[in-house]
Amino acid sequence: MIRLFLILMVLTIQLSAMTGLDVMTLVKKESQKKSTRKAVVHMTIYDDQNRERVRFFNYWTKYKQDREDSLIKFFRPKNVKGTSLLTNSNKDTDSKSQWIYLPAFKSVKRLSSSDKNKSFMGSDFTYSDIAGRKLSQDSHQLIKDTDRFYYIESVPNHPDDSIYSKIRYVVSKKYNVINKAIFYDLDGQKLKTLSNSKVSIVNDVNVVMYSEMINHQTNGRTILNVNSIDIGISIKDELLSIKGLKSQ
Amino acid sequence: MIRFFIVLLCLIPMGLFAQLDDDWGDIEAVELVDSASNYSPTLSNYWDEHFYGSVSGMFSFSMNHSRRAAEFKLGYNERWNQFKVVLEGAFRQNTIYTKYEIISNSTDQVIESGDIELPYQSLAFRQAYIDVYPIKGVTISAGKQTIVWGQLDIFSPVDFLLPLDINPMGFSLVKADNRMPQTTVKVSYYPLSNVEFSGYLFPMYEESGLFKNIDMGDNYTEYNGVKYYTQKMLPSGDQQSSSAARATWYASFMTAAVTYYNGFNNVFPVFREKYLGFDNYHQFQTEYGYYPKKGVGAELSIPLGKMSIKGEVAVSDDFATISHEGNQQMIDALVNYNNGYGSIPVYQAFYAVGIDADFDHWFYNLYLMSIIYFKNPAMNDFWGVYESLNGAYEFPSIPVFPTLNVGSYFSEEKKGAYGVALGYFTGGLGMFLYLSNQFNESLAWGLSADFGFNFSDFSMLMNNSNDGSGVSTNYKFFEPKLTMGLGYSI
Repeated sequence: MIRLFLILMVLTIQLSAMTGLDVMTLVKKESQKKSTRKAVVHMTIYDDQNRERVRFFNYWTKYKQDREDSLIKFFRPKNVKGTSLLTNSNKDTDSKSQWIYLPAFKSVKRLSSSDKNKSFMGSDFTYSDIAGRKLSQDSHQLIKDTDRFYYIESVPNHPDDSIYSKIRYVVSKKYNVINKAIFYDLDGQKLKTLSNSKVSIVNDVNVVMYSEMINHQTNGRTILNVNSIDIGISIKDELLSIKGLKSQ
Repeated sequence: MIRFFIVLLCLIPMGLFAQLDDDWGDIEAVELVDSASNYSPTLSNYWDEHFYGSVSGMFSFSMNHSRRAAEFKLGYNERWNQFKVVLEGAFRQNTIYTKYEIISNSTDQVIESGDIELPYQSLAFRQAYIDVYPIKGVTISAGKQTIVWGQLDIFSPVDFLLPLDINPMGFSLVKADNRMPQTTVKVSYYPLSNVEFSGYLFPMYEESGLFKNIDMGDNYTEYNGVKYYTQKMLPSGDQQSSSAARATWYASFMTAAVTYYNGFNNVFPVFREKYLGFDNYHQFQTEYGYYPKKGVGAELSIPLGKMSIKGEVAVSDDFATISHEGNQQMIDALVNYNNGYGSIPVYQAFYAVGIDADFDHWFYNLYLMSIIYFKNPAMNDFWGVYESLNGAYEFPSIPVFPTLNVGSYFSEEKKGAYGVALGYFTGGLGMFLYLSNQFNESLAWGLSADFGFNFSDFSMLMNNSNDGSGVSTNYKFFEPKLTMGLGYSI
């Protein structure tokens, strides 16, 4: 009996030996199992009066060992049509650049670091939410794990580096995707909750198809619905560059 | 010992879970769904991805005039692997109903007054070009297109090397709207992902519609019984092409660019007098138009929080008009050193430093801009004569005019705003109060009060005022006005 109990305890230790960073690395690896993806995304934004606005955009992304680049181009609604956002992340230098192309201005504008904290096209996501964070920017602590989920708390290593004081993640063990993320503002108050409720397996990659971000402080919410997605297709590097931003 | 070990093992996970609170909320299992595309290629989807356009109308009124203007714009773009096609056409209409006076040039007496309708219409392709991506890092673009340079959001000195095309509805706070589309062959090369070298060839000279209708051909001067009619000088034949080169560095901490331009004085026709001889009084022939102009520009933008600090300078050829005061030696110097022209080649430096700022609830654009002139060393011989006769030449000074656009958004979504633009942002020197918002994401409205000089009005005035018949028409539409408008995006 004691031996059985010991075995159970050892198993518990082995499970707990999985660190927060390990779990988040698993999630990252799952999402980057194939280096490219292209999607058509339908974004629905609700304000506190439940008034609805929609945005549609094409999304291209490419992962490499040292960098991660993405391009978003809106085609609906009419007043943002043609607006494109380029994000270039360099993992080696820990730097991230975001550029926006506004067709009416015919010019490329760099988003400053404070722009990154602005709402992404009126949604409850910020530009930095879209850009994502490097794993090494945060300390990831495994708080608990159950048979279905890992519970992770990620705190920025440098407080100035984020608009959030911490993010709590619930990770699906079955799919290695974020099931839920809770964002806390710099005062430690709960700010937003992201729920990823639908997953598809596309080209052997588990990919989130439906997300909802609820802003607890504004009572707004935003739904991201992936209308179509291709994973592992050919995407040229220059599409995800200033050239691509201007020409796509 | 074993018991101690068990207790210890039990304590580890307890410690691990000690930070847990109930903040995680309900957690629902992830649902596995089919990845089949639910995005169908409907006409509506195709339209939204590839077409754009707007229908807008405007009504203005004031003491002495009213106007109705409308614009219908439709654009299409499609990108294939190695090609992209852009087509954009616009119909513009502007009808001014205004009071006028006809004044005798010799007596300054009002000969006639009344009301008149001044119509303006244009239907044109504003953009029709193709992009080709033949090899990695290279884009070749050919056709009619709008070129926009400079870092300052609204008004860029470097951009002013290129021709203007101000919508008859007025000066736009969107810089690209004020640029004239030109037939262009452009080759861009990106040796690095954030460095762009571009070469431009503008094979034919295209005059801005702002000045196209100015016709002073009936005006003349008379010398020795010969009438010398005013001539319009338009670049033509193999002398009409212009070109430019530009290098831009999109660094993570700044954007910087340098530009070289070899073309013409696009923004405003130069008027100059050519001296024919000197009797009791000097005789000259007037010509106006567009002359070769070279220029270099430099620009810089540094993002700083929610602001960007920017600076630009464009140094280019220009002319200084000399008053010879009827002095024979001066006329001789003009003839000897400047082919008889009274306008002396000089350099101008058009510079601006400014801040474009966009906060959550408000925004501003504050520029300090001016133009300074300095001598072209090629004219040193002329200046030697000039200064020996008249002393040092004083170039005209353009005041460093604080040019400001400041406003507030109605909401964080920045859909609507109200504000005031002062100075050059009005398309001239004046003040412009505006208020705009959206009924929905397609339909927007605006109100404005315009107190001052409007560049497109000035152009219309020049196109209509002087017919060379000894009288001038004084139109009264050049005045402050209230405007209301509606715009619908399609």
